[in-house]
Formats: sequence, structure tokens, C-alpha cells
Amino acid sequence: MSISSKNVEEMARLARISINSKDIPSYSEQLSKILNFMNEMQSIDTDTIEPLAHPIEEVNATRADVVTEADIRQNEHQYANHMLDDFLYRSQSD
Amino acid sequence: MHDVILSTVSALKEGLLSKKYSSVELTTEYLDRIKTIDSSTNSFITVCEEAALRQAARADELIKQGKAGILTGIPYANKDIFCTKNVRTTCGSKMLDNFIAPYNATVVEKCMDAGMVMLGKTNMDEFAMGSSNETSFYGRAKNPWDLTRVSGGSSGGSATAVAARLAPLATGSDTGGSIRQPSAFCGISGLKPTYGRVSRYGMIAFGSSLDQGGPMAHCVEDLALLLSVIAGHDHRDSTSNKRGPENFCRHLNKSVKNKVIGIPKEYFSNNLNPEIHLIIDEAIKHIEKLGAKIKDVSLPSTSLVVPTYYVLASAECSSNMSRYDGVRFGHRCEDPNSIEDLYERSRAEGFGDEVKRRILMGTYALSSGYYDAYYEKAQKIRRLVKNDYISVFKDVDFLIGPTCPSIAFHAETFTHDPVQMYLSDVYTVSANLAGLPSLSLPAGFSQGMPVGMQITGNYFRESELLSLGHAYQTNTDWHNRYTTQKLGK
Repeated sequence: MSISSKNVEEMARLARISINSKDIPSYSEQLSKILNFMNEMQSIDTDTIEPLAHPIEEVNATRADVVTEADIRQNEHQYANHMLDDFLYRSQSD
Repeated sequence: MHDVILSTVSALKEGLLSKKYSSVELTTEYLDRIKTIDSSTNSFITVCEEAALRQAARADELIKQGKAGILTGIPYANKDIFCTKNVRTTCGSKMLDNFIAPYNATVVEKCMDAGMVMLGKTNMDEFAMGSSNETSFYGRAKNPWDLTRVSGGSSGGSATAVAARLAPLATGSDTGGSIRQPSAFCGISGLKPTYGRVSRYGMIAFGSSLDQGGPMAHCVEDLALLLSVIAGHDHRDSTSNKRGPENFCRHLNKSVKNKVIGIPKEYFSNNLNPEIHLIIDEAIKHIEKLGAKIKDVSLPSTSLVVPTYYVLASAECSSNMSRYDGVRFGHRCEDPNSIEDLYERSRAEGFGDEVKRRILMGTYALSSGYYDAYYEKAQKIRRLVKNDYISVFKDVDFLIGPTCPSIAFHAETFTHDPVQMYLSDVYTVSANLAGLPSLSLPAGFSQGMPVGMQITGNYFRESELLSLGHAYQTNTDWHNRYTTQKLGK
């Protein structure tokens, strides 16, 4: 198994990280090595095992649906001064 | 005043309460040391001189009024992963170089409420992804025992700060060994508590089902003090355990007589450095002399824990890192020409190589067609790892082994070989996969470098774990050793 240059480009697109085309071969090589290492997991049969998502199996914590904290978007976010409306931001070039 | 630097926190507290010195004087002593020594160790990303002196003056006032708590007036170093209002929180990344959080992490708030004095924010691997501190945007923290060697990571700056006596206490976070491994490499004590024991609110997330904050200090007694301050239920962290505050110092002197210690045979394979093997054997004999019983046990999934951990940690990382998009906070690229361009270039410029590798690897493990073979497979093995522990803890109270397979390695040894770097976490990651509490203590020296012993306990048995560690340290002096290297100007 290996991670091809095409795979790297696809993962970079999904993860929204631009990658310089000259760096793609080295990513492909390193990620393939990591993938091969991860493939050691395939050495055992786990067909009957239930997946474990979380170490401590507790029920969800819920709270009443009431406002408990101030809305920090308006004045405390780093780029709050670029905010035009609740969820609209303008880029610095504007 | 210099002797003060070598004191335990209890002795410092005694000095403050008996008015031998004030918190302002104590804080000034540490700040002066940071000024002269930190140029060698690079332990701190940000030093908060003014704020620390203000907090110290406030602590002195509390002490005068007879309102001092267990750590009032005691300085500490805070890992730069815990959000601090008014002080930047970088998480070791260019992405957050100018980030000032709008709120304090619960751990920070608890330290503040206890009247503690924050000296500064410590160096760390970028977003806690690394085992050597070499992925930090601010350069690596250097091991005070040998500056050419790594501090370990990711809480490397906290470990070097405590080891170089730049702070008596530090906070750390541990996703796969990030408290224990640098503690072992730098010759200090560090505890990863049970998952859910310490609130994750405001602790910048890496692998949310693995991350756990905890204390780092010279000795176990000091760990117990800091843990008593930072542990406890927090309604703002939905995975926080419901247990209330606890005094972890209360049972420190409890006897370890007849406690059963399991020795996992898989931890003493050929991959373990022979000198470390001997040192841990000696430490186990020592604990046997204290009245504990030794039993050979097996953790059969050990050979698969590192690949399993790296699949899960990378998957959770790729999801957690998606919040850094250059929109509301963090690094933003110049002149974006579209929203896609803004995301892609801000992330490309803001993240370092290791973080990008893990995001890409995690994206791969979670993507359609590979999910079953990697992410789900790893979750199944995680179940087996947890089952190994459940089964072994039916027969033993603690498990003991080495914290790391080697002493602190030289800088740049593994920078071009991520898989070899990952393998150095072989003994530490399973406690995170299973969510168990685990302690690293200094147990000897090899080639002049500290060696750590790891003691893992059952869920929420931190008190017992600390009492075993304390019994060991009461009978040994490895934790009192201080580097003979010349540090600073």
C-alpha cells in the first residue's frame, strides 16, 4: 500500500491545505511510510470486536438551553473588526 | 535565596507562611533565573513578568489576611496550550502566534483562584504534535542535562522549566505521553490523570478522546498539591468526570505494603535499552523492599498500540485542526482572492510540517474507502487495549515499566523519520488509549541522562498511584538531582 501523489493532492484538497507541487513527492513518500507502519494493525483479526470511540464510556452531559455566556463574536475575536454582520467577514484586502 | 530554588513546594509554602520571604520575592527570584538561564533552555515562549508580580502581590495580601490556600503565592509555569485571557496562547504554532484567547482555560482559572502566580507560557511541540519539542515554531526547548539533546515532548518547555529550576511547578498536557516522556527525559515527575479528571475547557484540542491535562514537578508530593488544585468536575467540559474536588495529599503516606505490582513482559523486550532495563529492574526491587508484591503479567496488544494510536490521534487531529481557517482568529494569508484561497493558504502558511502530515494522514484514515481499514480498525484495537488493562487490573494494583525505550536522544535524530519518532511513544500511548492515570518518576541515570519509571494505575486511583510514587521517593533521591551543566549567561 502506498499514498500516491494523486492521493496527496486529494487529501490536501479535502483538508483545505494548499501544497506546493514540488513538495508532493516527499509527502507521498513520508505518508506511505506512515501508512505501511499503520498497516501493522491488519495483523490481527478484529471482526468480532466492537469499536471503542472513547476511553470512559459516559452518557452525554446536557444542560438547559439558556444563554450562560456573553456573545464574544462582536468584540473579542481577533478579526472582529473585519466583521460586517453576524456571520459575514470581509477579507483584509477589501 | 538560592537554596529556595531547590526546595519542595511544601517548603516554599512554609517559607511564605512563616514570612521568611514574600511571594513577590519568590517570584522575582524565579523571574531572575528565567532571565539568566532561559537563553540556554528556551523553556518559555512568553514570560509574564508584570502580571506575575501583580499576582504575587495579591497573594501576599491573601497570606497576610490569613486566607492562603494550599498553593497561594507559589509560582508556576503554564504550558502554552492552556488559554489565557490577556496573554497570548500560541500552542507552539505560527497559526496562533498573535492569538489572545477571550477566556481562561479552567485549569488557569483554578490556579488563579488558588492564588498561584503564572510566570509564563512554556514551549511545546506545535499543537502538541511531537515527541521532541522540535516541531515548535519557536525553536526546541533544550534538555538542561545536555543541551544538545531533546527535552522530549510535547510538554518539553514545562519539563525543562521544572528541571532547570525556572519554576517549581508546571502544567502539562498528555495525548500520547506528552507529560510523562519529557518528564522522564528531563529527570522530573509528571502525572497524566485519568481521562476526565482535569477539565479540557480552554486546553487547545489535539485528540479530544486522548487529551488530558496534568501536573509536572520535582517530586510526587508537589504533583499531589497541583493536582488537588486543577482536578475536579467542570460543567463546561462535556467529558469531565462528575467527581468533585479531592485532596490528593491526604493519602500520600499510605503504606504500599502488600500492594501487587504487575510487570508487563512486553515492556522488557529487546527494543529496550539494556541500561534502562537494569535501572527499572533496580527500581522494581526497591519497591518490592517497601513491601509490595511483584507479579509478571502480559498486555498482549502492546505491539499494536503505536500504529493504533497514530491512526486515532491523526484522525482526531484532522478534525480538530479544521477550526483554523483564517476567518475568525489565527494566521490569515495576505490578499486572498476567494474564500477557498483564504482557507488553503492560511492553513498552508500557519501550520508546520508535522501538523500538516498528521492532518493529511487523518484525512486519509477518515476518508471514504479507507475508514473501515484504518479508523474503525484502530477503534477496535483500542477496545482490545482497554480490555487488556481491565483484565490485568483484576490481579494487580499497579503496572510498572520504563517510561521510554531510550534516554533523551540528540536533536535532529528523527526529524526526517517520523515513524522512528512515533515508536519512542511505545510505553506511553496505551494509557491514553485506555484513559488510565499514569505517572513518570526519575529512577536513575544512563550516560549522565535521567531515566524515567512509569507507574500506571486503575481508573481514578491517582491517590494510590501518588502514594506509591511518594513511598519510592521517600526512599530514593533521584528526584533531588540537579544538572551540573552550566546554564545561562
